[in-house]
Amino acid sequence: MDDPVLVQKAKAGDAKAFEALATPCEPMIWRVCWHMMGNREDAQDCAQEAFLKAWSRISSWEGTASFSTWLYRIAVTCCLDALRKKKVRASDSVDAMQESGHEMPSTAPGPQESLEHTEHTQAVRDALSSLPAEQRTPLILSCVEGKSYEEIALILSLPPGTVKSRISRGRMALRKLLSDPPNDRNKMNSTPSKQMKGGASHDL
Amino acid sequence: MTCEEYRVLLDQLLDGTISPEDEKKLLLHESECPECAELHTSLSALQADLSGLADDVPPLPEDFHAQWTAKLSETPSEGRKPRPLKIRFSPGAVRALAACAVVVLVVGITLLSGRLNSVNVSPAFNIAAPSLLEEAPLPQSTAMMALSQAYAPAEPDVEAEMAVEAAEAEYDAAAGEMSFAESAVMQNDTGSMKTAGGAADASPAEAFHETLAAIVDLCKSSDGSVSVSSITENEGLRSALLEIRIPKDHTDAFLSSLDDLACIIECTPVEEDAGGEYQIFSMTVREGET
Repeated sequence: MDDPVLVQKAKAGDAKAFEALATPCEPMIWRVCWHMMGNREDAQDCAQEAFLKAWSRISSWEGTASFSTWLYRIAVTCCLDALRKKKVRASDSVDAMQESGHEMPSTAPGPQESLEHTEHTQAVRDALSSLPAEQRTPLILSCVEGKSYEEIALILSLPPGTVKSRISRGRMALRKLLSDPPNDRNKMNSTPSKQMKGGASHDL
Repeated sequence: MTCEEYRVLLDQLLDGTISPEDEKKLLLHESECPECAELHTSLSALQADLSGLADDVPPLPEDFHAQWTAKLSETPSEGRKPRPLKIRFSPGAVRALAACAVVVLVVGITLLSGRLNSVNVSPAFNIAAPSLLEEAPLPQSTAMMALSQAYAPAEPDVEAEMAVEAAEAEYDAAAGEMSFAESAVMQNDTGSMKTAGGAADASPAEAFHETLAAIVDLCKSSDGSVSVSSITENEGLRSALLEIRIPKDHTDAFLSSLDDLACIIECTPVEEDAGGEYQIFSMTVREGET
């Protein structure tokens, strides 16, 4: 439950009240931006943009959803916009980071286990970022972030039934991507216009 | 149970929404169908992999909080922007409005020039008219003249309309109030808006944009929704693949409305939604098609 006094003050332009309202959401916003963007720099840019955008639009927040859901929605929109503008997949950015010597997150204990864990996690992440945004986003929100269908529907402004079908199709597409050799995967990622001509467009 | 029915239950199982009874049916089917059993195993493993990504997050950058809070003072918190007024005038409506303005203008000028007696007006108007004429009829005529000038062009200002739509898209996306797909439609077409001319001789880019905008409007008026699966470019011409959900009792009207739109390559019913209330269509819209 959002503190009504903070909300009122923030809406009146009190930056300190907004800071108090938004700061607890930082880990959540950082996490979703990281999963959506796949690299530190872009995730940070999008997360920063989300907080500033929320601040500049706080007066328009009507309170139908909680502040955190509203902020989360803005963050997801920022990420989708950034991905569209840059037209780069998150995995490309991760590759670029690795090439330029950036450290990737690692949580496993031993060197060999660490390597296998990282490789497998990276394969899943790569496959996930190969999916079209309309499948990848609800899949991340559901399976990674643990959001319910109703929450995802609210965040993405979609009917819950659409969210459900996209997650289901996303799972099947991801399974296929992970079971196919990389060469086949590249074929799947060929230009969408060719896929449309192939008649499988509705499955995108 | 068919394998198709099994998949519906498997989704429910993975989502944690399956009933104990359905879970028993699911397991029974698996015992008889190795392919479905394999699907269950692989999707469960995938689910675990995806859940595992939740822990694979680097720590929040140390300066993260300081960065955005420092920018708060530079970013003024605006009040709610008034939503741009979206008025569409068809060419016929504009001509009718212009004609009305001209008629009123002529009557006003006639009254001003003291020819009231020669004009056939109603008795009610006659009673009020003399005092109006003597005291202050001018503002009415001025207002009508301004109105007739404002709406004088026989064609709607498509460029202005598109600019309004772009502003709306920007506003909605910023406020987090528009679905990303809808926002994509608007944003992907912003580039072509600046070159828009008259509606009658619309370029392929304009026709493409107008069709997308019309489809969004149609879906809204049918209580349905539209999302963009992809917008691609091939040899300089764009194609949009749309997923459209229309309530079943509105599908006939929706489909017949599409007849008037250009650029639509196909609109194919794909499936029903889980609740059976909506029909889902896959639609392809291509620039340059008539």
